Amino acid sequence: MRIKTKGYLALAAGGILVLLTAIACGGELSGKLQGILLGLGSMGTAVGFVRFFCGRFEERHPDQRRKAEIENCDERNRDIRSRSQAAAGQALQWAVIALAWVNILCDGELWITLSAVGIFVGKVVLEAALTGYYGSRM
Amino acid sequence: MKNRIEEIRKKHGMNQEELADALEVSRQTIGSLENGRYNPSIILAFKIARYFDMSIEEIFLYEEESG
Repeated sequence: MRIKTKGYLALAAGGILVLLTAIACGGELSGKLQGILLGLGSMGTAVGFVRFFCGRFEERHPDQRRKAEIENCDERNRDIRSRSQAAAGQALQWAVIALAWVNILCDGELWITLSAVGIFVGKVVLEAALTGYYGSRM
Repeated sequence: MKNRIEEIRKKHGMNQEELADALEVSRQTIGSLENGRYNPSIILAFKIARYFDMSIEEIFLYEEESG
């Protein structure tokens, strides 16, 4: 078994441990802390098991693993993924501003409007920074 | 960009899957290349040319866009 696959098994085991701890010590923990532990435990267990079984499948079927690697690294697929992510980011960015406007028109809470604007500005700043970064590298 | 990949591939008696395996790209990429929907990177263009032992210009037909 590859080290990576063993690691995912350990992650699943850790997730189960955290889940059991959250359930066993439920009475002694605050509601918030128990919720966090349950969330982290569930995520660790689910991700760990899914990745473990995927890894085992790939170990037993190396041709499938090679195919998956090719699909992942294929330049056309990478191009499609990049364009999709960029378009989705743009759409989400304007949806957040629309949310701010709806909140203003509905006399909603100020923090919602400010948060939406903050996310919008943050995205613009991050995009400019990444443009500069990739521009200097390419 | 027009190209002769399909013609050359068939001349070598290969299907798209076999060519994709040889070039380590997906079959969909070969399909998109052949029908002109996707232009390859320079690296992939070189790989294709080297695989068929031809020059890039013999495979890919660059035409200046008018207007």
